[in-house]
Amino acid sequence: MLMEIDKGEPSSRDPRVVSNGSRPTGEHPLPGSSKTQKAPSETMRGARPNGAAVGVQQETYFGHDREEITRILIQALGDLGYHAAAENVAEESGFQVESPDVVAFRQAVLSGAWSRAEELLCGKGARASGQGSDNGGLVLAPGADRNIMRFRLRQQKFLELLEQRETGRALAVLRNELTPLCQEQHQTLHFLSRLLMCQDTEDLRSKASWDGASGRSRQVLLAQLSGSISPSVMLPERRLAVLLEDLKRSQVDRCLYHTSTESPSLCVDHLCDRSRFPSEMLDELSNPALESSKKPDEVWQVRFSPDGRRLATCGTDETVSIWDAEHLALMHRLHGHLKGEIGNLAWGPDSRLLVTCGFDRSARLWNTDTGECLRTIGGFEEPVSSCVWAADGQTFITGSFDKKKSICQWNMHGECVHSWTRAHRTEDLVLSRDQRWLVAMDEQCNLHVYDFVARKHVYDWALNARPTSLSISRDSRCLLINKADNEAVLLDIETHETVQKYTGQTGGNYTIRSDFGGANENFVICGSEDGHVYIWHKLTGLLVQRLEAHHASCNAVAWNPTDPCMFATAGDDGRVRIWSNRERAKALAATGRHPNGTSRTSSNGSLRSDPMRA
Amino acid sequence: MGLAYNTYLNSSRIYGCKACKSHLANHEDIISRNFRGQHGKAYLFNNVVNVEAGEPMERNMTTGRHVVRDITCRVCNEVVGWKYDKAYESTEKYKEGKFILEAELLCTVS
Repeated sequence: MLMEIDKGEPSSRDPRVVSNGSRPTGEHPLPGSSKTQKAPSETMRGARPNGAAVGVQQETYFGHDREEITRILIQALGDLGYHAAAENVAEESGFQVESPDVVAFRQAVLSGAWSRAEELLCGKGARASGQGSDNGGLVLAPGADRNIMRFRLRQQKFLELLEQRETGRALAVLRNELTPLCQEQHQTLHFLSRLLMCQDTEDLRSKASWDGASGRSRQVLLAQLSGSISPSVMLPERRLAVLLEDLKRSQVDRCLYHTSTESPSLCVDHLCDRSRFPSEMLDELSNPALESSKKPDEVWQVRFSPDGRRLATCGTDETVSIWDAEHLALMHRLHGHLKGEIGNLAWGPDSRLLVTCGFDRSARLWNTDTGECLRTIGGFEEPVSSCVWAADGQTFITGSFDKKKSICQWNMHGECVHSWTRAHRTEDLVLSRDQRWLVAMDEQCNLHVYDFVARKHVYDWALNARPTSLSISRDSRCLLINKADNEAVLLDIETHETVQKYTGQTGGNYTIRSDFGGANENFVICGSEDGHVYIWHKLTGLLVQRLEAHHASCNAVAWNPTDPCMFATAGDDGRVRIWSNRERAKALAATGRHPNGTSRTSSNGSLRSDPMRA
Repeated sequence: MGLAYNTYLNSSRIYGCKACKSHLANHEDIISRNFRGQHGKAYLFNNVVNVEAGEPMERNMTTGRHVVRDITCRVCNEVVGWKYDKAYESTEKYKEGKFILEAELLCTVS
């Protein structure tokens, strides 16, 4: 009814886009016939910016297709539970989220009426091509294969019949309906026929990873099929939520000084305040050796525990220091490594256990609550260079320069449970959070990538310069490689593409470490032989911050995994510095504590006023 | 100076420091075996790794006056030989920039 009235409007209507719902000048309200309409049409006319016709002119919502927007809104209202409002909007606008065919198809799938579902899918004439939503079945998305969809429907039918122990009918389905559909996929057919042998429904469910007709399998099937149906007749599920998530993610990704951990509000464009970004030295962890005049012991690695409450440092002084990150105080000094520096350490996932890797050719397992050494793993003929923990905290993997024990996996008793050694030496090792990728870097220019779960070697990758450290992103997709040619590069593990490059730091002689950090892991932080710490925005490669961190080379950096406003740096001057923003520094000063280290007033903590393009 | 691991060589015969087994030189890099040091036989190498050179000093050797530096293993700080900076006689110029490792202070690492 509404549509007719709209069509009756004068076609000289001005389709100019106007804002605030005001009408273009020269328009007058419709003659008397509109008065017989229900109130909604008049309010609607006032509310719509263009007062546009639905079928006649394709008016836009500020440049977006009116039909798409309305259908998405109707779906969102339905998802939110406002069904009456959704119906109202559908009536007023004349658009529907799904065509009646699709509604019938959805009901058929969810209720198990398979022949009806197939009829709807393929149309009465069972035509192979998919044009026309009225005659030839449902309109499919480009690239969708109707046969695959039919196969899925029939497979669900087969599984449900098996569940009801109707093996005769199930066999008939397998023979007459499934087999003709898949000429090449014999394995699927074999798998399905093996399911006929299942003794009971539990067995069937676990073998087929299928949770039964009464479970979610029908919804899952519908979701799979709807991916193949054209969006013009059936919207993908939760479309508005998906769009908003994408929008939020892109805003967060672009935020240059991102420090907040909450989901951004939709009412304002997201932008973090620069003053919250860590750029001032909060404190310096005191090292009594610095009081004496001898050459300071260099600190080579600094790592926060996964819960962000502890910090471990190691270096040339042959001990490991455990600090409390909240109170910035020393908890333990771990003695035990024999003569030789300690190059690397790794926290266990419980934030209590720690493995240290020594130049004395041993790795040691410590309890950081008590400070005692639980295990010593020796037998290496070369220094142990690195360590990673499995997510369950029951095993850890050491990397070493010893060619015969290059990558070994140990359990809590110090027994070697698996050796990944493959005739290369290992200088650094990382394991992805999803436990999929184990990547080793050797002392020449190569990376070796392993599948951790399958325990197989996947590929080798040659770099153009000598790498000095590795890091892997939290989403397990990207590898950060710090190289001796003054460049850090971000590599996609699966496609080997270079995602981004970061320059500005100096290196070449010694091992300088880099890491991901910050809220949403938006940043890449790296030390440098010139004593500065460099922070780049991960996606764009822009240099966001460059701070004078140490008087000598800045060797290692670590961002607190639970606090986006704090990171630590360690250098050859023997100092470990904690950095945060001005408000934290003020809060710390207000408690009466003064930061250690005499150089507070000198050139450290200097800021660059604009982000520099590296 | 910061964290630096040893350099590792790749060859079938590698000479290393007798005390700590750090790689020092490849057998293929030997230029001459006709040398004698304080501890007996010594070899002239094209290139050695993992050593630190000391201060230059003038020494009178059987072949003439040279400017040499003692080289020590970077891990255990034991002297392993010396390096020629300058040779005053023209016939000895070929030694400039090359290294002597004393056989007595080496071991084979393979």
